[in-house]
Amino acid sequence: MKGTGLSNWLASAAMALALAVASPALATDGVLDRGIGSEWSSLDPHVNFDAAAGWIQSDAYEGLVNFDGEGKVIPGAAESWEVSEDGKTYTFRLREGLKWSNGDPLVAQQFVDGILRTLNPETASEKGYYFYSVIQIKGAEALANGETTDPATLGVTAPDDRTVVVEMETPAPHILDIMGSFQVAPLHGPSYAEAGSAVFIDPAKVVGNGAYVIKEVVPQSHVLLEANPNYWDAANVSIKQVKYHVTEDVVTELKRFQAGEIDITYDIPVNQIDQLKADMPDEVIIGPSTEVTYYTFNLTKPELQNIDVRRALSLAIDRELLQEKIVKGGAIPSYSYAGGFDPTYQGPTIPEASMTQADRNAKAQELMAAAGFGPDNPLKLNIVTTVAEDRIRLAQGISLMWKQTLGVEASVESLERKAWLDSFYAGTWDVFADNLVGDFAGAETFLAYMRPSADAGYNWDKPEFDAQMDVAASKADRAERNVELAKAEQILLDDVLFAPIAIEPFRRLVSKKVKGYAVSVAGYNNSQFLSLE
Amino acid sequence: MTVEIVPPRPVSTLGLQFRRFRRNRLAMASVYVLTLIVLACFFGPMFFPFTGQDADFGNISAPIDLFSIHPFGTDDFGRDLLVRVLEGGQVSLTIGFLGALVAGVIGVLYGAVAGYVGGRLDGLMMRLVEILYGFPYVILVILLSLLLGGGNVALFAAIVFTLWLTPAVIVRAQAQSLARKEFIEAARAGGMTHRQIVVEHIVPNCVSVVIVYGSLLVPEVILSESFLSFLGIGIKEPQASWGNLIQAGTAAMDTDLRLLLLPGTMLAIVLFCLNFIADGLRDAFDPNDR
Repeated sequence: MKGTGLSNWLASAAMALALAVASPALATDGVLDRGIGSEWSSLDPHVNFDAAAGWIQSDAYEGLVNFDGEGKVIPGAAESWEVSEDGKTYTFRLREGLKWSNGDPLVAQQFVDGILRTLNPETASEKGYYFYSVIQIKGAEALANGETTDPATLGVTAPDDRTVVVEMETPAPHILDIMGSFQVAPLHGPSYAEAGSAVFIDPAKVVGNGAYVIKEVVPQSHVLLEANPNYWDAANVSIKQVKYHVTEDVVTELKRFQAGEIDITYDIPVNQIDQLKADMPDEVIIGPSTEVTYYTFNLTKPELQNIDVRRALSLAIDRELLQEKIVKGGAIPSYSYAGGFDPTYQGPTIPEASMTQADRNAKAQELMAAAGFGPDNPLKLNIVTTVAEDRIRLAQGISLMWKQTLGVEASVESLERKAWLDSFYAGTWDVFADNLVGDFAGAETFLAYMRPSADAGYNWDKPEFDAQMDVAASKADRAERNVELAKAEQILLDDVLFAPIAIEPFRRLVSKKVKGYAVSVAGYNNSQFLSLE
Repeated sequence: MTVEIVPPRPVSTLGLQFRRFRRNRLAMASVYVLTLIVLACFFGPMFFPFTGQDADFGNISAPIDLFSIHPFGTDDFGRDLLVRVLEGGQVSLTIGFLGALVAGVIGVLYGAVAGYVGGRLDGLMMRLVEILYGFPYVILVILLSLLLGGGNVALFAAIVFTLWLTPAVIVRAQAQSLARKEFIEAARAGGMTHRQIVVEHIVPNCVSVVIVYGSLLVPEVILSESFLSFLGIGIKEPQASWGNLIQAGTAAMDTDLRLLLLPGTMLAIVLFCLNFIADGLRDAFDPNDR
């Protein structure tokens, strides 16, 4: 998943309409208030690609599996599953008597319909790659390409109302990590047929199968969820109402937290971490996440087509200094793309990772001079980043380092999250402050995102990488698979398509009255497992 | 014994007015302080071996130490704070004076023509001014800077575009009454063209009003620039201006007040000086206050 999905004007218009008829919220006790940063880009479970909006989604929908507070896979809509001998077929057995929030029975075919809708090119979902790249479900790629529209060609089937069978081309030991609600939310056919994609944002019509159901959607303000009485585990859902607040500005969010308006924040202002740690040590929670930050170079810009220029730019960034002295947000400097999450994965780093920064700077200057750039002919670049405070600081820090070491004149353009992502696909950037939130703590979630390499945005066409990913995908054994994945990452890093910067932490303030909040690397903290005191 | 009557030295009106201005101590002190700040902003950075865009990564957030290489410390990227404030001053002051000058010239000529010609053209020109007045200022500036693609020039154009209206209205009122005066009749009878009359008679006779208003325009432009940069639609990092320095300062207010106080104080001093000078000029040019 990415920072956010594409903006959907139609959806916003419908949302405004929904607002007009929505009744005011009853602000009573027992409401859990959570911050989600920028506004959700979409509440459509098959389209949304935004990690923060994914929290709303995992409260409102349940996938075949679920994740507990520590991110561990636990049974969700499926109570058990079996894997075939060759690792290519998974059979999920659904719980008995599952119901939608409106009381309709939930059947296995509706999970298949959800995947079909995600893959359908008309849905314009970015999440299809989960099914043909992260795991390779039979027939998924052809459906996504529009080569066929026959649902029978898909390798996901429902032989009866309580069984979902997933057949893949290659073994995938990580399949369970992407069988949660973010990837495989079921589709309630009748309500969707009636209202189309507007149904997902209309509290009067939306039908879900999660622990909560959407009650109120107010654009630029909040989404209110209420416990779903028809959820199979409703008896164990302690908090009856959850409100997700838009908290674009972290400083304001902090003030709202201090005023008791928000129980779990989205972020912490980086320059106040030390102070807050001293003032309220129990409420500051900082832990590793699966988000990587990397600076992508635009391969369509003639100057950046020279790999030496890209390498020089990557080398001139003092990653340690950036995190320790400038951003100070607790991110871990990184010299690789997919490494650092799964301890069993021995991935490559950029070759200069073992050098000192002084040596790296010297080499960068040499490369830059050889490429014909110097004081009389400085390279001019623009860096496009999001408006979040720590991201702007990072970009400004890097811009200063490039100027200092290489004489590069880099301007920083900070855009709102939606505009930032639109700009990526429009290609109106030289250097893109990119980030990716992995779906699980492993290398494959990141590498699979880069495949197929010819996908829009990066303009990086590398058949060798795709071929190597296919080799990796054919290995059922995790250790062997990791060896092949490392080779693929080597191909990726050798091309210096981007400069890896850091692994981001997640930073939250969690009120003392919230119980059961655990540290989850992949960021899963479903409200159903929390309670209020 | 004859009494020798010494005639008073002949003094022009303008000379008289400036003499009166010089007697205003507050205004004169402001002139000196302002000159000092302008000189410091434009020549001060030359005495440092680095510019405000060079970071000293070994000295990030260095505190105030008057005898070190960074007398006022460094900001949270390791850039020298004093140099940045001075360089920010260059931008803010340049935009301020140049903006006021350009807006003033446009406004004066527009107003003089409208007032002198009168009639239907006057009505048309003034309705246009009123329409432009009707637009909310901030929205107009945002639209213009988007239209012109951002950057210093766009910001400058946007400020000028919105600030020439008031001088135009003031000068037009003045020009309207001048247009009926005998000497204008005489000039016309003597064969001067309309263009000559506007430039040689109307405009010079409005000059005292213009000087007073212009001196008030300068702080207004500086404030606009700072305000827009503060909102993030003006001067962009890494280039400094007082507005974006103050913005960066407010973000770090809780941890390092220095970053806010230094550019904030400079801006406040300059604005006070300009207002005192404008006050002094108004008193000096007021014909009822001899």
